[in-house]
Amino acid sequence: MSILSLREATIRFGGLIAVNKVSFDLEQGDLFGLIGPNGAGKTTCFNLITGVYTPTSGSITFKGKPIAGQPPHKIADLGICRTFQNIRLFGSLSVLENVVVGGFLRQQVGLGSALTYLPSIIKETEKYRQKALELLKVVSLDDVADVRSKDLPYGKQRRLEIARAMATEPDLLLLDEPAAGMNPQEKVELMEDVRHIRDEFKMTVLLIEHDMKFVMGLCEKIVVLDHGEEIAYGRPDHIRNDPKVIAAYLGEAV
Amino acid sequence: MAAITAPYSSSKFWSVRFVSLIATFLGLFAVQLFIIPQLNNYDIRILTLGLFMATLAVSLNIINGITGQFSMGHAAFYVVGAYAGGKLTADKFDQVGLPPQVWLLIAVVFGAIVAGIAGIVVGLPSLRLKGDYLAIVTMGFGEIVRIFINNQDGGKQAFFGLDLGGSYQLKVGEKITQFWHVGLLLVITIALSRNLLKTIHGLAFLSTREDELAASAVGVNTTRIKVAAFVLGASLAGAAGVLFAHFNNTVAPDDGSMAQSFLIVAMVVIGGMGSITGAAIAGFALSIVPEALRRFPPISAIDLMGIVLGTIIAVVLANVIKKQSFTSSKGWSSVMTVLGYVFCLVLAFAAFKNFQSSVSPVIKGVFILLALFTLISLLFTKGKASLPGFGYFLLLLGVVVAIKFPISAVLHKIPLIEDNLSKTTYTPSDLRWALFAISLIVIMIVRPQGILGHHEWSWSAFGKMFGMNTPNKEISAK
Amino acid sequence: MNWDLLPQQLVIGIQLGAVYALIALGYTMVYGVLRFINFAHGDVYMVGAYLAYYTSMQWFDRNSMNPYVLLFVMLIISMVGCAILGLSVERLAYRPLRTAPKIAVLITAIGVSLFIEYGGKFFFKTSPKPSISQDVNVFSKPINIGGITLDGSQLTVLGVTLVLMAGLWFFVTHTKTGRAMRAVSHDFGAASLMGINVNRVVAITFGIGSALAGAGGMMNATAIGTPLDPFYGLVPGVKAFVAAVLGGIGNIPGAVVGGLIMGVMETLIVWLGYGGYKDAVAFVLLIVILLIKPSGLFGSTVEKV
Repeated sequence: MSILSLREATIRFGGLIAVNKVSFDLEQGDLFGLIGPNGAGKTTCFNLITGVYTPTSGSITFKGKPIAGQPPHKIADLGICRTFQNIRLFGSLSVLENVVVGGFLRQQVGLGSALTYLPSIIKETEKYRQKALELLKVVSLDDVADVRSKDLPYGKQRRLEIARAMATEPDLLLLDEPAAGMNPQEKVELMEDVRHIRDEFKMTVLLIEHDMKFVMGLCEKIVVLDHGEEIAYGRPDHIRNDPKVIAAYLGEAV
Repeated sequence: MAAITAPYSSSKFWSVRFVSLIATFLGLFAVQLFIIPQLNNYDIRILTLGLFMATLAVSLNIINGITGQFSMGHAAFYVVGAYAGGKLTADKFDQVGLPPQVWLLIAVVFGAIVAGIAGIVVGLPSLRLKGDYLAIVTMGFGEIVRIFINNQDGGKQAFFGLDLGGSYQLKVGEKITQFWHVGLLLVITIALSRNLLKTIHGLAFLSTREDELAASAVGVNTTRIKVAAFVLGASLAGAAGVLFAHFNNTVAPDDGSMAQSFLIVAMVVIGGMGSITGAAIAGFALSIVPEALRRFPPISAIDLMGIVLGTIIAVVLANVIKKQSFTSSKGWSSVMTVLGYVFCLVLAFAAFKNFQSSVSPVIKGVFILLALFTLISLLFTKGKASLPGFGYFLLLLGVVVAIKFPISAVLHKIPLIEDNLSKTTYTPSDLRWALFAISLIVIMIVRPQGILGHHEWSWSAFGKMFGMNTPNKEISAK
Repeated sequence: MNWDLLPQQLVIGIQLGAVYALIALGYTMVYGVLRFINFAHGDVYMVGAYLAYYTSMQWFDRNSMNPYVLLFVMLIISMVGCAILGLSVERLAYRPLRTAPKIAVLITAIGVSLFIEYGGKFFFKTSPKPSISQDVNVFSKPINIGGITLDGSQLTVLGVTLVLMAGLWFFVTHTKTGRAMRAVSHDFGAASLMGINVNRVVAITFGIGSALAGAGGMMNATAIGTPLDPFYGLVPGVKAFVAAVLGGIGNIPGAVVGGLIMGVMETLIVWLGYGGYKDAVAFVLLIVILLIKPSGLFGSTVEKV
């Protein structure tokens, strides 16, 4: 059974149809790419899946349950978490604190215990602090754990976003242009990290990326959007030779 | 910080908490029993009002500073609590016949609940509004509360014939609140905020402040967080209101006026948004200082003009000749350091002189000890680094004074001014609001993040000030 | 509830609404350009009222002067005085904070507001000044149109407001500076990249907004005749802000419509017999509007993630 499936998901803003009847399925453990030229509706697709927008029509199901129109925090609770194209960290919190926040939805102790600082909340906070430290090791940020996150260099901020999303213990991880602004060396490392995350943490990964080398080298399945419409769906070598895709990219080497 | 990172041990944890709880109560009782009786009624009133304002500022800090929801109607929660608790006492105290202190506890809980409900009512619009819009809606809520109370005089326009004294005032009839009650509430308010920030829950509140969309994307129910912040802040303010009602004996609608709300916001912002310490200190200081100004003698209009002009010239000079050229260059910096010593000694002497005259021996002792401690640490430890800065400040003050005399002399010679203004005098307390406004503007221009920024008081930071080096962070990697 | 009084009440409401509209214009223009609520705007309006008071009671001889000329002089003095005040506030308090966090600017605005109020208390003294509407009544004969009586004060307010708004409309749509202003309000950063002197545009916006508030203050002092005191700008200021939000903040015609709605609503509440709650109407209206259509009646906003 597929873990996430979109069926003719559509959203319009006034006269503009940003995403038009997009359908695709993700299987458990997929490394799935979502590509397309600028303005193709990729990020809007993410916003539909994570509940920022409600689709005008069509359905989105996650593990067999419809999730369209649920608030973002509910969707995160069900097991989908994302990163943002224009990095949205909690700027004045430390790197470690950013990741601990990700554990908030899994922790079990109530606000009352927090206000009175009972042993239960101390143990719980410590538990998620340890988890966050481990995750920081995964994205190799453990040496800057106490740095204020807005003081990090750009590439590290992107990795911190991934760690923060992983702290919510998702089954499906959505990465919005994770390699943007990174140099080739960093990109290679990131590819390794993403594969490692998929294999080690048993997560399904859906990612948006502009760097074709990155996508083709990493993803096992790809869906291509253009002007909100799905123009191709398949394995990388299939996508690479699809005439519609080549036309959409104006003959760029795909 | 130790609590999180140190291996957690249950028995030690409870004993530490128990001891600190007992110590808090003993401390408050000691102040109530030994220090308060030494003071005159006016001083007690001023100090207690200072504690009230500190409580309000710290409780608003939960909403504004920690959760980032810009609320500008906080005085409304205060006044809602005051009216709820006050009305309960006015109507029921005599019939029930409980001991006053027990009754006060009931009234405080009741007032806190009513204010908490008001917090939900205000918190709900905050789910959809941000920034300026939220500010103006909360301000509007404050005004609605004030106008509502104004009309509840049991007359034709009152709802259900409710009588809260209308625009005049509500008489409570029982003066139960003592200094230590307010002190206890302040301690509780600070403790709740501190506890929250030490836990993962606190991080959820902070993340809502930092970026709401990202917070909800990682599963923080920002709706619940925001409402919780409003309810918590509102009920603490409401509890303070009940205590105020039983302290002042009467409550008026204007205790919750827009100006009062602005003042509380200003306290939080000046203290540094999100800093509990900053809010508490700013709240206490900003309500004490204007009162302290009353003790100064009146000043003549011409002297005042001289001082204003002198200050302007000194500020212009300070902009032209940069501070660094004095404090950093070799020759000047030693001069500045000497001036810094002079400044500290003069300050200490002035403080000593002032306290000699008016305040009770116990307080005097405490203040002298504090002053000595500060002085010693300033003169002999790392605090020394700030001495040239003080010296520079003294130099500027000297410039102001040096300019003031010739200007005043010239002004006396101008017939138009001499005839009209020579007999006019102002007391500094007349000017206190204008002074407050100017300092507010200046602080915001010079240091927009507030005096303490996001920083908190902690023993380790205090130690660092005096040259010791200890880590300071609740949730840190080490 | 007396139905015969309704038309007359509506006229009074429109008169009051015109004053709100004049203040609301300043809020909406400043918000449009700088995206911040100038809390001191209501106090500028207060200063305008005081300038009108001193013009007619002390600086000029109101008995020997032609009343029309006096009215005109008052209007000019109030508007110019307030424009100068607005410009200095912008230069001294707001410009240094152009890049500071929004909250710091908001607090500064509150500081400026307190400063003008308490400075006003210092200069104008606390005791309320009596209304001067009886002293400066230019139209002695009321005009009757279909059972509704329009007196001089109402005609003055409506006439002056119409002229000022026409002028503002012409300025914004037909002059180079007006176009620059619209460009800045559309995109502050891009406008400065396109070679528009943003500081100059902001200053002009403050100047015009304050002058309009001054005109509003002058007319409230002369025509409507609320007794003056240094805090008298606070509540009308907030109400005018609500009017601006009602019409869609940043939207100039919206501010005018919002002001008129506000004035009429307020008089209707008095007419219904709940005069005690008239100051609360504005805020209830505000909360309802923000919950139903946060962008206001004529506003539109697009949010991008």
